Amino acid sequence: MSNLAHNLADPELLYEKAFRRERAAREISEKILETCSRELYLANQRFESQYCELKHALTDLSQTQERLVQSAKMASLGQLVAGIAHEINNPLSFIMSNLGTLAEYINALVRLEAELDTLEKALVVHPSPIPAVAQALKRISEVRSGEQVDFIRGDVDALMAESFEGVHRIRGIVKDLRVFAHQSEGQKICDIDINECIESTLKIIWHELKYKCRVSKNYGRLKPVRAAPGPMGQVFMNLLVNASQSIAEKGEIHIQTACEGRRVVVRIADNGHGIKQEHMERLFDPFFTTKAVGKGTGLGLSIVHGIVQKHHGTIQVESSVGRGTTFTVSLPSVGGAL
Amino acid sequence: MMAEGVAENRVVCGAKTILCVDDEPNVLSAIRRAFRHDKHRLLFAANALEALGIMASEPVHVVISDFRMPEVDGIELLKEIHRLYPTTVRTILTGYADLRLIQQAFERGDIYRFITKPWDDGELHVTVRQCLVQHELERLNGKKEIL
Repeated sequence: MSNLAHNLADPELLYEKAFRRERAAREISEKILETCSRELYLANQRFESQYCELKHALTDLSQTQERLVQSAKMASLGQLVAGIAHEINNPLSFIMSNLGTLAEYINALVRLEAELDTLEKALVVHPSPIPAVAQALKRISEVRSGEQVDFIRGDVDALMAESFEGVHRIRGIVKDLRVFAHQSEGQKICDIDINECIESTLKIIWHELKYKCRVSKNYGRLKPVRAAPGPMGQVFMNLLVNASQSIAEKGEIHIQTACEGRRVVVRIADNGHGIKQEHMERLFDPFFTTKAVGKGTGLGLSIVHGIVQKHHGTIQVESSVGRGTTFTVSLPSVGGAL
Repeated sequence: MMAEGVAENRVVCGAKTILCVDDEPNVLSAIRRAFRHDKHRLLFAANALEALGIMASEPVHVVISDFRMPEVDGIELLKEIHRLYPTTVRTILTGYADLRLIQQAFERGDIYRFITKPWDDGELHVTVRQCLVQHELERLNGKKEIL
């Protein structure tokens, strides 16, 4: 009791005690606060990295979805196109054969007509006393002028040639459609050297390039690429033909290949007319073309895109109107040292 | 190939019977026209059943069949003909790019040649001539199969 009284009595001591208590409490609360804020900070960091992961996953997912939708679209379009190609091909086959026969038939009739002409001329010089012959002669000349036989004789070759050309064009389109529908189907996959692939493609299309393009090449040492050689050749063929067609009179095509990390990268650059900005988005769409009627089916780049995708590659394009276009194809290379 | 080319010049074929099978009548008409100058006898069938009916009633030396036909397709038909009449030379006419099936049939020996649609009349003639020569060679050799 006296102690308590003594304590109560000493304010200095009381203050010190209170101060110590308060300091201890403050230290504890600060410690708690620190722990809390550290935990909060760490949690925040975790959330942030999780957020980043999720964001990446979302981007991946939407890209995958886009690709899936695209490939589903291409697959159903492929089926449709294969069906159409087949349906066109059957009538086309007998039209082509019949056109050939028709040309022979016409040839026979034209020869007969020439003989008729000779006969007619002979009868003019030596008229026949038989009335039926004179009558037949008159009818012949009536039919000749009524049906414009002279014109027909002069026009028939052009007509046949134009029809043949048209039919051959249809055949080309059907062939393109088939390639489009059966991209790399049933093709054997092997390890190929992209430089060799480009070289053999160049040989095939040299006649199309040689008059207007100077082709420069810068081949790097490449790792092999696992691919179907036929379709892969088709990729470079379509890109090179496009490059050449973008050049009006004289121009250059530069082909560059290189190993970049685990990928083989091919750049095909031309200094042709370039691609308009508004066309960029639809560039790989099937049937999209800016070429004149009869000059392009609009399937070339769509075929290229399909084949590159099938080989797990990517294709990029840079272009500026009036300056030219560069297509960059990147393909995964087969692992291992050079 | 070389030996066959030489043989082709030497072998003289008499008139033979060629059976064409296609469900598209216009294709058959076109083939009939393409062969109008030939001495060979052409027969026509619209489907596999009709073709087998004809083959059961008279000898046929060469068969040209379309691939895509309703019910029984060309490969099935030629497989059956291979089994029943091994000396008949079999060719498929295909508008379809289904080369894998054709290749398999080729490897099994069910077909001797194939022609793609649209065909070139000149090519068709060459192929048919090769088929006829093949038939004649097999007959002369008394072998059932060369290939």
